[in-house]
Amino acid sequence: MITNDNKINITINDKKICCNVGDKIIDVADDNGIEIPRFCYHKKLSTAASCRMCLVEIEGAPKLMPSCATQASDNMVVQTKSDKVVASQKAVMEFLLINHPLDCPICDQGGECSLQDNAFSYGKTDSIFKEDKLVNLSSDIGPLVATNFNRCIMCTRCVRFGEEISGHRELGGIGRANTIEISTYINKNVDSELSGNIIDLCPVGSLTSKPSQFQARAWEVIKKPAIMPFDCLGSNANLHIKNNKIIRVLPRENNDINEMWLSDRDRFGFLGQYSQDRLSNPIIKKDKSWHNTSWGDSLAKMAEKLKQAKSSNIGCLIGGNSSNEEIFLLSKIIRSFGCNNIDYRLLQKDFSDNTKQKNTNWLGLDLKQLEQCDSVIHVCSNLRKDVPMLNHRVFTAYKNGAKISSISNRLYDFNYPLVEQIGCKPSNTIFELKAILKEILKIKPQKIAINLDDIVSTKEHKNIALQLSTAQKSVVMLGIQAKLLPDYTAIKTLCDLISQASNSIFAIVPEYANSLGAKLYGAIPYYSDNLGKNSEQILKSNLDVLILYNFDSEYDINSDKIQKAASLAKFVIVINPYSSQIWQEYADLILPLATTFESSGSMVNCCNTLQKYQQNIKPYKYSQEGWRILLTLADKLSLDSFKYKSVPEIQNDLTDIQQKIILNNDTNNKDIKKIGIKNNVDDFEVINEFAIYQNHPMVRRSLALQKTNDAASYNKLIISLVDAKLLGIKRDEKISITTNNIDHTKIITSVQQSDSIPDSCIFLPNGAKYATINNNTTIRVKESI
Amino acid sequence: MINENSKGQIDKWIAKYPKGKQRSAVIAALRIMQEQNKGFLTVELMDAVADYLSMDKIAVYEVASFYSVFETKPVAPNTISICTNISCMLSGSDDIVKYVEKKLKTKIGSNTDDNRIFLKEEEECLAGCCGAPMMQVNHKYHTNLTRDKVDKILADLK
Ligand code: SF4
Ligand code: FES
Ligand code: FES
Repeated sequence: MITNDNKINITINDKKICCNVGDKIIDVADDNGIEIPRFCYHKKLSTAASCRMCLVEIEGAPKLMPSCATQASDNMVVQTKSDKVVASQKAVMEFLLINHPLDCPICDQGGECSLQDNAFSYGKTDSIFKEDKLVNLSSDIGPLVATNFNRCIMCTRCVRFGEEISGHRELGGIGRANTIEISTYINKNVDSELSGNIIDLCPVGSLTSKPSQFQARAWEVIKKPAIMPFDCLGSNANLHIKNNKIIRVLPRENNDINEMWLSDRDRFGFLGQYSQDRLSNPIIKKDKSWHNTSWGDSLAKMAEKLKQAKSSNIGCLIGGNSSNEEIFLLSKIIRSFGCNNIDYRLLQKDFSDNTKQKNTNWLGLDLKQLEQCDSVIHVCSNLRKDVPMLNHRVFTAYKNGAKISSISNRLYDFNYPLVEQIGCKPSNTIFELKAILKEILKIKPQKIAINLDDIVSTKEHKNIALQLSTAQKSVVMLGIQAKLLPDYTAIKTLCDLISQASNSIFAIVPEYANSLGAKLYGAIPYYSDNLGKNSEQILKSNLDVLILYNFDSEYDINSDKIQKAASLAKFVIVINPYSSQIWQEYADLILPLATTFESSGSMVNCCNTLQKYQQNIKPYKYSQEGWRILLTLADKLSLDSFKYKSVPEIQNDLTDIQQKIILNNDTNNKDIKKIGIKNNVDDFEVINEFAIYQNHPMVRRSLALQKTNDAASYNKLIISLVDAKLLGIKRDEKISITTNNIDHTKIITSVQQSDSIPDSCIFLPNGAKYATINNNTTIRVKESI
Repeated sequence: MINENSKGQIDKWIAKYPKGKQRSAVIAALRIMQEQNKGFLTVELMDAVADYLSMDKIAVYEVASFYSVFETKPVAPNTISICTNISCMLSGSDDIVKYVEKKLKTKIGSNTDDNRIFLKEEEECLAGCCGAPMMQVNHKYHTNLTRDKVDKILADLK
C-alpha cells in the first residue's frame, strides 16, 4: 500500500523495509546494510546498468533484474543471495575477468579494488576461458592520471563523469563489442580541472594516480581528515600518510561543501609540500651572509626589533591562506603596539572601499541554494578554474535549468553554455555593468542615484538584464579576478546596484582560502577605529620593521614592489615555509613555518563555515607551527592576554568574535559618483589574473600540476589577433619583454594570439607594467594606479 | 571543412529532429562528410561535425569508430565490401574473397597498390541474402556472384 507520504514496503532477504516510491533497490539495500556487489553503478552518476554485477531476484519476474536500474515497488520481494543470483554473480565475475590481466601484484589499486573484492566474495576460483586475452595499450592522458586500460572492465563511470560532472567529455568508448576501449581517441590530455576524480571512480586499477604511483599500498597508509587550503571552499579530504609523508589525498564526503569530489588542485596541490626549497632552520643575516640561529634567539631578536620600532613604522603583510589562529595572534601582536598596518590583500589595487565599510564579504548564500538558482551572472570570474568545486555547483544549477552569462576581461572557457558572454577591456568593465544596469531599469523602473544617460547599451546588455529580471532566484557573482582591477570598488558597487535593481543575490567569491578569516580576525587595516596602512601603503612606506608572513615573493604579491619595500625597510622578517631568491636578498631574519598540513588550526570558507583541522604530519625539520611561533613571540614581548596553551584555547576566543561579525556584501552607494576612469585609447592595458595553479605557494610547487595544460596556458603572453597583425608578431614567436621593475628584467616569453582577449590588451602572467616587444615595437602599457 | 553542398544536406537531416536535438543527425552528418572526402573521415572532419552539431568531439569519435560504415583511416576512393555472413558463406563467398584478393593483389582491409580500390573489412549481412553470394561496390549491390561476374565488375571499375 502506498501511504500518503509516498512510503512503500518491500522485503529484501526476508527483511521488511520501508522506503520511498521511486527508490532504487540498490540504494534501499545500501541504506539497510545489505550488500549488493556492483561496478558500473555510482550514486552521483546516471545509471548505465551495463556490468550486470548487481543482479537480484525479484519474486514474479522471470529473469534476474539489475538492482541499480530497478525501482522498488510496493510489496516487492527481493532476494540478493538466492542460488540463481549467486550463480549469476559467479558467471559475471568470470566474464569480467576474461580479458583482465590479473596483475594485482603490480597494480596500485590492489587492496582497494572492487574487482579484487568482488572476485573474492562472489567469484569462482577458476575459469573455462582458455583463449588469448585482448591487450589494450595504455595511453598518456596527462601528468595526473596513470592509465592501464588492460585492466578496464568498461563500466563507463569515467565516461559518464566527464559528461555529467566535469561538464566536458574527454574520454569515450572507442570501437565496439569486445574490442571497445576507453580512450581520448586522439592523443590528448584529459584537461578537466576535476580530472583526478576519475581515479576514485574507476573501480579497478585502470585509472590510478600518477604522482603517487607505486608509493604505498592501501593498507600501509593512515587516513587523517584535513581541510584543503587551496581555495575559498575548503574542500574536505583525507590525507593518506605513510611514515609522516603524505602519499595522496582523497575526498571526504561533505554534501555541504565538496560532495564526494576534489578538484585537481586540492588533490595534487600537496605535492608542493615536499619541494626542495622548504626552509629548515631559522636563519639570520649578519654581515651580508646568512647564519643558522635558534628559535629562541631569533624570536628574541624579532621582539627586540619590534620594541625599538616606532609603532607607525611597523608593517605586516600576511598571506590569505593562513589559519584563523595565525591571523588572530599576529594581528593581536601588531595591534599591541598601537599599530594597524596589517593587510592580507596583497594584490588588490583599489582600496577605496576600506575606510567606511567594516562588513565582511562572502558568498551570500550556501551551495545548496546556489544549485537552485535559475540565473547566474559571472562578473570578472573564471570560476571554472578559480574555484572548480564552486563552479561545479553552478554547473549543477545549469543542469537544473539555470541561465548563465558572463562579463570578463578575457573570454573564459566555461563548461556550460552561456546566454551572453561579454569580453571587455579592464577599463571598460564599469561601462558594461552600467549598460546592464540601464537595461534593468528599463524593465524594472526605479530610482537609483546614478546617471546613466550617456551609457550606450546593446542587445547583449538587454539579454543579460532580461535574464536577471525574469528569474525567480538570480545571483550576481563577483569573481576573484575583479580584485586585481584598478576599478574594483566601482565594479563591486555596480554589481551591488545591479543585484538590488534586479532583486538578485549579490555573491562575492573570496580570493584566498581564508579571506573571511583574515577579515574576521584582524588582518585588515580598518579592523579597529584607527585606520592603518593598507598593503599598497605598507609597500610604499619607509618602515622600521616589515613582517612578511606566509606568502611567496613572486606571485602572491607584486614582486617589484616588495623588493623595493624590503630594501627600504630597516629590518625585514620573513616567516614562510619556503625560501626564495628575493627573501634571501632582502630579508634580515627568516623563520621556517609549518604548512597547513603540518599544523592545527581553522579556516572560514566562502559560506562562512568554520572548519577546524588537526596537525596531520610533523613539521619539516625545524620549522614550527605558526601559532606556536607567534605565542613564543608574544612571550618574548612580555605581552599579557596571550595566555593560550593550545589551539582549542585560542579557538574559544575566536568563536566569540565570529558570532559578533555581520556578514554582508552591501557597498557604500554614496561613492557612486566616483565611478569611471578615463580611458586613453593609445594605451595597452595589462590583464593580470589569479592563475589556477599559481594561487598558493604549495600548489605553485606541485610539479605534477605545473605540467598540466592549465598551468601552461598561463605561461604565455597573449594578445589579440588584430594586435598581433598590427605589431607583426607571429604565432608562438619568442619575444623578449623588458619590464620597468628595479633592474629592468628581461622576460623571454612566447606569444599566443587569441580571439579571447580584447584588442589593445595584453595578458602577462607576471604583471609587467611597461613592455618592449621585439626591441623595436613598443607597447605602451597603461599604468594601473 | 564542411562544404556548402554537405552543409545543405546536413541541415536537411537536422531539420528532421526536434529543435535542440541536432546531435541526432550525427550519423547522417558523418556519412555526408565521408562522401565529401571520397571515402574516409579524418579527425578534422569529425571535429567539424562535432562543432556543427554542438557535440563533444569524443562523442563523434565514438560514433565514427562504432559503425563499420565509417572509415577513420585513409582508404582508396572505390570501396568493395564482400558479404561473408551465413547465406553468402554457404553460397561460396569465401571463394569470391580469395579470388578478389588474388586479382587485386591485396588483402581484405587494405587498399590496392595503385590506391584505387579499398577492400573493406569483413562485412556482416548486407541484407541481400536472396542473391547470395553478393558484394557491394561503391553503394551498388551485385548479386549471384561468379568469378566471371567479378571480372566484369572489376573491369568496369577501371
Ligand atoms: S577506465 Fe575504469 S572507470 Fe573507466 S570504464 Fe574502465 S573500469 Fe570503468
Ligand atoms: S551496477 Fe547494476 S548493472 Fe552495473
Ligand atoms: S548473408 Fe550475405 S547478404 Fe545476408
